Amino acid sequence: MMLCGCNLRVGYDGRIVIDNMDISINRGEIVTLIGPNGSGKTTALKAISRLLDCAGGVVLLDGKNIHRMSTREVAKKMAVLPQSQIMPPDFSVLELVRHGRMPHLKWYEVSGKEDEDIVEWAIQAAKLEHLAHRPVCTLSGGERQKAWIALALAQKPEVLLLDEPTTFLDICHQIEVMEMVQSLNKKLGITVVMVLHDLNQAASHSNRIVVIKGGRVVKEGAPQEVITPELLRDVYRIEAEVYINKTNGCPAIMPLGLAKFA
Amino acid sequence: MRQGGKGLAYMKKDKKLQRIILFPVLLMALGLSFMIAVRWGSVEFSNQQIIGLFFGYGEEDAVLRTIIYNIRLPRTLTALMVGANLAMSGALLQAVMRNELADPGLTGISTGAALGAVTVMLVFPAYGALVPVVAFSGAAIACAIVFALSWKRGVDPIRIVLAGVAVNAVLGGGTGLLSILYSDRIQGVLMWLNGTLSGRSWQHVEVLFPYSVLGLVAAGLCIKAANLLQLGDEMAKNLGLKVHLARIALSAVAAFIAAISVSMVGLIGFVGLIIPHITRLLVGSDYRYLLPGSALLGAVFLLSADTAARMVFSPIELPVGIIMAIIGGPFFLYLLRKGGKYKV
Repeated sequence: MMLCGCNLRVGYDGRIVIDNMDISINRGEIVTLIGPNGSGKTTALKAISRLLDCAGGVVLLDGKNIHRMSTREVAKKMAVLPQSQIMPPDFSVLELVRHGRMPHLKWYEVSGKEDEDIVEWAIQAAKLEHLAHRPVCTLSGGERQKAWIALALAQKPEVLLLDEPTTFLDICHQIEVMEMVQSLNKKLGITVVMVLHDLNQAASHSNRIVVIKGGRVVKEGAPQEVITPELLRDVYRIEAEVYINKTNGCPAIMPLGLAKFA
Repeated sequence: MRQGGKGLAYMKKDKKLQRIILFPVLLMALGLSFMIAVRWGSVEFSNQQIIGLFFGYGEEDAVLRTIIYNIRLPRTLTALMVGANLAMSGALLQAVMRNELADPGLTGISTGAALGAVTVMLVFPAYGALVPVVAFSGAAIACAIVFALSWKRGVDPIRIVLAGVAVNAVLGGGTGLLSILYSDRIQGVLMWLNGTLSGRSWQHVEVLFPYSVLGLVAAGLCIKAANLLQLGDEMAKNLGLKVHLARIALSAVAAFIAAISVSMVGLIGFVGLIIPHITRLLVGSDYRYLLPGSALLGAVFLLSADTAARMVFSPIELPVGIIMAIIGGPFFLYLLRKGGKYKV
């Protein structure tokens, strides 16, 4: 097991958002956390990526307690892309991606040839070579998201955590980002954990889906097992038709309306 | 993420060239402003006399020696160090607060130093020699109060700003109260409150120098953390930075170099705010360039302003803080109007 949170209890200012949650990620898989707004999926992602401290429970990365590891040691194995990002308006793609090497450099070290090569590779992997010298804030939303993913890649992580990487992107960029994530997983064996809102995306790009509601895992498993009309009614309170997409064999949903409870 | 990016003409591929050119240019400006500062004044000397003096000629000319060595040189060196310190302090705080409008005064050091200095000058005028020590203590205490008030499982930039505003208001009120109660002795206080380099001697240089070198080294060690903080707390932590520790360390370094400067020369506004701004426009937001650039530009700027303060209404000397505010204020407004890219 690559990454697991056992018995997690997380909250903000005493308000407990997640209680008694177990979540485990195997090496090499793509796991997607889904759930309604406010269900605690982002909180869960932040907890297992040590961006949030846990009030209870333990997070293990490769069997080691993540909160006992130095944050720099964690950063060499794990890259996290938060939901919203900020940066100075003048940073170019290249300058931004270079920061990804920071965890690998001691405080007195400057980046060497090897680091520059990795940065170049990361920019290529994100297909941003032609934009390398452009200020990131002049790029479109999709290109920006790819620049941030390139930064995460420059960390050379074993596991990549993405919080809603496709929200606010048009459909073409959404697909581009999703396919990029999938190819990173296949070609480089990077374990991926992400939070998604789009259920069809989740169904067609994940090995496993974890459904969270009210701070608890209500169901987990392969997309075909998880994405069912009953679950959509229970968790999202919608009526939907679920059919199997013939081209990729993944379930797809067609919402019909809000669920009517007697 | 910030949207848009129209006004980014200042940062394209010419950034690299600018970075290469800027530092020699700044060094030359430093040399030039140094020569002007040493040469010009109520008594003028020729270039030969001054250069000769530095190489050991003309030692027998007592007037030349006294004016250059005992008056202008220590004052010039003080201006250079104070300018560099305040500019670096502002640059670091802008990273800590993730806000380009942060300046050293935000941490409470200015009003803290002012209350300390004013108390000595007005209430205990016999102990005038203690002004720098008390001013520094006041600055340190005020800064500690600001950070203690803003601490809540880590320091959040917005809480520092708000705590700073509140503490500044209280301490400023104290200074105002003392000024009214002792309005008969206000004269010397006014000079100090507006920042003056007048009469700074080797004693000041001797105190400033070791601490400025220490501050410079410490600031240099902050560069990586400052760069990471610009990407937001979560991203900085993701990249292996201990965010709270870094924020405290950077603030401490920034407050220290500003406090030691303010305690020597009084309140000089705008250097810490405007110099990092201008430097950012010239070399971008990468602290590997921004920090040394700010230090150099701050030194040149304050020294030039001080020379102007000596010359404009000669023989009356103005506090350099007034010159800085008069030049700095309109320039700042210009930046504010022009730059839609600045977070306010």
